[in-house]
Amino acid sequence: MRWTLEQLAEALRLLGSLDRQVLGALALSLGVATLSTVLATAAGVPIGIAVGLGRFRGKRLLTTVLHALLALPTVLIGLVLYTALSSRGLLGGWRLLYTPAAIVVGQFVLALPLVTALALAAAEGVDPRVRLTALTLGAGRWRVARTILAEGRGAFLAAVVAGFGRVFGEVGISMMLGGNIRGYTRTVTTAIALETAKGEVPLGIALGLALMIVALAVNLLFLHLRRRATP
Amino acid sequence: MTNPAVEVRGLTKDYGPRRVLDVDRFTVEAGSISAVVGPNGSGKTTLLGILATLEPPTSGEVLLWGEPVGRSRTADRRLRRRVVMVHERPWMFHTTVLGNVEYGLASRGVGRREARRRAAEALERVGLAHAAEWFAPALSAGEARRTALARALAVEPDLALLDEPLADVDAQHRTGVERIIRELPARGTTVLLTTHRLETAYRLADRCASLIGGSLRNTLPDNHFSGTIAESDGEPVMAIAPGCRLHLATPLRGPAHVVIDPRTVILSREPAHSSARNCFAGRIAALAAEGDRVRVTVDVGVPASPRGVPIVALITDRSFREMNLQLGEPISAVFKTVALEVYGGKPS
Repeated sequence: MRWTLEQLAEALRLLGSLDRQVLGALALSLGVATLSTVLATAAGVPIGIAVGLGRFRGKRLLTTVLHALLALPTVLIGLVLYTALSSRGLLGGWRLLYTPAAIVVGQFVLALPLVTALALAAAEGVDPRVRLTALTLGAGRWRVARTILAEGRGAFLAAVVAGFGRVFGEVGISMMLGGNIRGYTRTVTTAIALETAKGEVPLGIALGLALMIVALAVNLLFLHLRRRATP
Repeated sequence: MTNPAVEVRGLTKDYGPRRVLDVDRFTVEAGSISAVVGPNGSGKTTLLGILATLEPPTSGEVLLWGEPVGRSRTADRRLRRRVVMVHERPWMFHTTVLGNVEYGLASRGVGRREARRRAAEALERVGLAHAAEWFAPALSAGEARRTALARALAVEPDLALLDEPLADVDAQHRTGVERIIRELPARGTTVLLTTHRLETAYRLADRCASLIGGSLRNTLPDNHFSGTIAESDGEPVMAIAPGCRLHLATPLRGPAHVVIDPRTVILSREPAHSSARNCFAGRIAALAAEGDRVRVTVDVGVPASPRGVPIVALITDRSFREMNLQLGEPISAVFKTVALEVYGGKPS
């Protein structure tokens, strides 16, 4: 008990002193998670809307595959991309392995099915009158899609938040593709894993607290946006 | 014959195994106001949706201004821009009332300032100028309907398809909305509206058609009565006017429509003593020859019902001559309960 309290006190001291290591890892975690979420949103939301509104053969199969992809373990994504990105791999020429960009690629792959599946559900959840009203008022395909996005913005925002939440806390991809290089590809989650393994429990706890606070802040921000979006 | 704005040939629409629409021929003259009368669930909305090119028919052909629908995406889009449908329960976009009315104009690339001016003008017409900055989804059903009307009219369509345009509109604004609809042909807009109320169709439309159970007739059915089926002495009855009650043979109760085939109505000089449960005394209000048949309209209304209650009987020329029927003569219209077709209502 005493030990735990000591570790916690030390963690709070570290956190309070805004240790440079903590800040650096935090900035990288936020940066790669934001970028990968933005990319997953840019790709996943249009795909979700197109599939959600489309009527075509194989739609159910596609939806099923998408939902199956939600269960993809991060370690597996890491492994597959590792083999692709390593110097003898298919994409080895890109020289991405052990760079922040590699983490972004991996997290993008992780977030894409989730964002797409939730955007698809959001598009299907929008009242069918939205599409019919937009069409009869002369809207073209783009305007119809934009209108559906606007009318279902709360649900689409939830898809983005879920995507961010998924990538912000993951370890496997960051570890395998980033390599946990101090000051370069060390994110908060990989740092926690490392520091705890090294016995630097207070630093681990400090990083964990920082991760939690930032995650909470981001979610509160999204919640606020969502409240404004759905009066 | 003038150019029809809408022409329908052999149109059907199936939802799964269920055929909801089966229209052999139907036309709407350009510059007219036409009404399709039918009970709820008769396929009116589906018909309008198909004419608005929002939904493809299962089979058959729709021509708008002589141009077939469904040939190509671009052609359909061009046609769709000339047509606007106003839904029975219109969707209000999550923006201001003015923003909603501007939507169709923005879709057509009308400049911002011009769009604002035309939207404001359309709102003025429906009496909602004061609500321009209100949040549209918070409007009452009647206000939403008037906003939807303004939103449709702002784009000055060539054809307006109005689904139950007067439902939910309160009495205070009803005349206003009716006036707007009546003025549309003069502004170059052909109107096709649906209603479940016969009187709305009569008041607004130049031509009426009836849609019952998905099949459309280019005329209103004779002897179409709307009312509520209630029980009296354990027998289903429907009051169609003060002092006038139809006796029915149906397990259905509640609001319903009843149609009596004019060929089954018997005319009798004597108050009939027969097995027929329905016998109404009245006067002959109109006589019209129809081929070798004569259409006899009997007004069975009591003085308390100012519009009269017409019951039409179709009899042969021969029986007309043998009975020597005269206009204004007292006569009884007699028909059996089983000759009544009941639409709507719910099983008791």
